Amino acid sequence: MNSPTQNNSYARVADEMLVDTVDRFFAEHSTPERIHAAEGSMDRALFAASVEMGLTSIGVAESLGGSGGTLHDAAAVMYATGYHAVAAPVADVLATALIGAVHGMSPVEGVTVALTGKRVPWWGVVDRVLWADGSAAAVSLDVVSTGVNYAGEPFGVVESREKLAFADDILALTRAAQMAGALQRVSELSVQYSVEREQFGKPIGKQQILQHYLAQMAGDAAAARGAVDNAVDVWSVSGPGSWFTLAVAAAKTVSGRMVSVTNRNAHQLHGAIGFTDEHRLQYWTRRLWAWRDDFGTEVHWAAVLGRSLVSDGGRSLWPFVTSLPPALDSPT
Amino acid sequence: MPRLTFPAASLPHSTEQLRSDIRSFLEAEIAEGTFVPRCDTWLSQHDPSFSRKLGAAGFLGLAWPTEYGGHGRTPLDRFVVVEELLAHGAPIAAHWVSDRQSGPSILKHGTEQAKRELVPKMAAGECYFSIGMSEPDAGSDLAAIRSTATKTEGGWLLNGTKVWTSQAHNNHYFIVLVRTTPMSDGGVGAEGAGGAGGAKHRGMSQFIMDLKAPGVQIRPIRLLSGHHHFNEVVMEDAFVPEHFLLGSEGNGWDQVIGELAFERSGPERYLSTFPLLVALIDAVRTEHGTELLRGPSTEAAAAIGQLAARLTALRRLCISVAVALSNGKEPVTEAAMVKDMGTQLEGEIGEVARQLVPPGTNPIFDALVEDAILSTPGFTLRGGTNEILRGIVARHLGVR
Repeated sequence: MNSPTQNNSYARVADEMLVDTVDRFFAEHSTPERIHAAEGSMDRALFAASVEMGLTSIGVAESLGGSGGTLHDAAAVMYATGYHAVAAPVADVLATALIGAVHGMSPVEGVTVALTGKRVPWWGVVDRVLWADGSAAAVSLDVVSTGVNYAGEPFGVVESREKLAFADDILALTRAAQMAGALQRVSELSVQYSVEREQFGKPIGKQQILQHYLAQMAGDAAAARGAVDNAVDVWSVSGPGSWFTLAVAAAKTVSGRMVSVTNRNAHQLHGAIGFTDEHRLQYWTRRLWAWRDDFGTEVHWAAVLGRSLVSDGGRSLWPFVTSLPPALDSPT
Repeated sequence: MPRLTFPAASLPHSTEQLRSDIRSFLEAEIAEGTFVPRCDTWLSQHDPSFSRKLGAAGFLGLAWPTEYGGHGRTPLDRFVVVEELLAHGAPIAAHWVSDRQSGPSILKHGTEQAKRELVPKMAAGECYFSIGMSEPDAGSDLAAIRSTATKTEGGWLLNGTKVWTSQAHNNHYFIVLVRTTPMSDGGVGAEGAGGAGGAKHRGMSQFIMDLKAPGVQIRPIRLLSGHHHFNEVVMEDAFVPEHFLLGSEGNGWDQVIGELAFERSGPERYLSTFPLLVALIDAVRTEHGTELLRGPSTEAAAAIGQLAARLTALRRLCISVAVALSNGKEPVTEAAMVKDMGTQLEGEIGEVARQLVPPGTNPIFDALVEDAILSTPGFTLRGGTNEILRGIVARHLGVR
C-alpha cells in the first residue's frame, strides 16, 4: 500500500505509522484462504480484531468514544480494506461511526450500519441499524429479500426509511476509497503476473499492448486515489456540506469509471487462470464490480455533479475545479 | 514493487491572492474585448501585445530571480497563474515556451551573458522561444537526430532540419538539440526520452539559435485545420555565438530530459479544451432554459459531471507533480502518466460536446467545438506520444 509521505508541509496526510500498522495487520490476516472462507458471511475474527485495534472508529474524537485520529487516517483504513480485500464490514462500520459523529453520536458496538437506500450491504451479519432519530436499535426491519453481491458479501433489501444527513455522501466516499485501494491492488497483481508468466519464450509483460494496459491501470488507480483524497481534504477543511457532496460525487464517479477498463484488462492479461475460482485476482475484481454499484453508481454521482454545474452555469465550473484539491493553510 | 508515487499535495493558501489578481486581470481583459476564450490557445493563439501586457503586469517569469527580471516567487505561484490563463482561454502562445521551459533552461544551464541578454526580455513578455527537437527522421526516437554543430571562429555553425517547430515564424529564438560529436556506432537507443543513456545519447548539445539569423530558413507546415503554427526550420551554416551554447558540450541529452519533465507535467495537458466545457455547460443550460426546473437530462448531466470529476482528479495529480518538481525531484514517470490521462480527457471534451449540443444551435459554441475536434490529434502527440509515455510508465513498473 502507498504510504503517503509529507512532501509539502501544508498537505494533510494519514499518520504514517498507522498506515504501516494497518497495512501489515490486514496483509497478515486477510489471506486468500480467509477471504474465500468468508464468502456469503464475514470473517468474524478479523472484524473483532479490527474493532479491538480501534479501526472501526478512527477519525471519531476520543471525547465521543472514538479512537481519535484524523479523517485522513479513517480514509487510509478504508483504502486498506480495499487493497487487502477485507472480507468484513470494517469500512462500513467505520463509515457509520463517522456519520454518527457528524450528528454528535458516539460509535455503537457491534456491526452497526447506517441506512441509505433500500439495499443494505452486509445485512445478514448486521447487528444494529443507525436510525435517523439518532438511536441504534437491534435489527427489526422487515426484510423484503436477501442475497449476496458479486463479491460474496451478504446484503438485504428493506423498505425505504428516513436517513441521516450525509450518510449517502460518507458511504459513497467510503466505497470510493475502498475501490481506489482495490484498483491499486489489481494493478499490482497484473504487473506481477506480467513479469512471471512467460509465453513465446519471454514474459508476457514484454508485449507492448500489455505494457500499455499496465500503464493505464497504474494511472487510473492513482487518479481514483487522487479523487478520494480531494474529498477527504474537503471534509477535513470544511466538514460535510454541499462542497463535500460534490467532491464525493467526483470521487465515486472517477473510481467507478475506472473499474470497467481495469477489470477487463486485468482479466485479459491474466488469461484463463485469472478467471478461475482458484486464482486470487477475483477477490479484488469481484469487489470492484460490486462496490461500483453501492451507494450510487458512477452515472448517478456524475449526474449529481453535472446537474449542479448546469444549474449554476458555466462560470461555476472553474471555481469548482480549482476547489479540488482545496488550497490548504500553512502549518501554524 | 515499483509504483507511481503521487504524494499528497495541495497549493498553499498563500497562492490565493495571486489567483484572485490574475483572475481579475483576465476578466477585465475579456470584458474589454481583448480576447475571446478559445481552445488550445497555448499553442495556437500568438498575441505579442497580450504577452507584453502580462509581462508588464508581472505575470511572467514568476519563479525566476529578480536580478534577471523575474519575480522571485515559487513554481506553485506560476502554476496558479498558468492554470488561470489556460482556463480562461487566453492567447498565450507567444511567450508560452519561453515562460515554461526556455527561461528555466537558460537560467539553469546558460552562460551569464545569455541570461543577462535574454531572460529579462522573456520575463517582460517581449522575447519568444520555440522548441528545436524533432527532425524528419527523429520523432518519438529523438536520439536519432542528425543536425550538427561544428566549431568555428567565435562560435558554432549549425546544419540540419528541424520539424514541427511551433511558432518558429513568429518567435525570436529556438533552443535546438544537435550533435556536436558524430554518432559513432549507430546503436539503437532506448525508446522514448527518459531511457538510459547509451552511445546514441552522447555527443549532443543544446544551442540558443536566433531564428532570424542568416542561414536559417523557416517554411510553414499547415495543419489539417488550415492553421499555421508548425514549421520546418532548415539551418545551413547558421552561426551561433559561443555564449549561446546552452550548458556544457555533450550534455544535451540530459538537459533535454530535464526539460521534458516540465514540458509534460503542466495543466496545459488537461486544460486545452476547458473553455469548450464551460461553453457546453451554458449551452446545455440554455437548451433547458425554458424548463430549467426540469434541468438537463441524466445523460447530459452525467456526461458533463464525469468530465468535471476527472479534471479534479487530474488536477490533484498535476499539483503533486508540480510540488515534486519544485522540491527538486524529477517525477518523469508521474509526469508522463498525467499527460497520458489528461490529453485523452481533452479530446473527450470535444466528443461529448458535439454529442450533447447539435451543430447550428450557437455559432460561438460551434466554433469552439471545431477548434477542439480539429486540434485533438495534436493533444496525444505533442511532447511525446501517449504510446511512448505509457512505455515510460511500463519501464518504471518493471515490465520492460
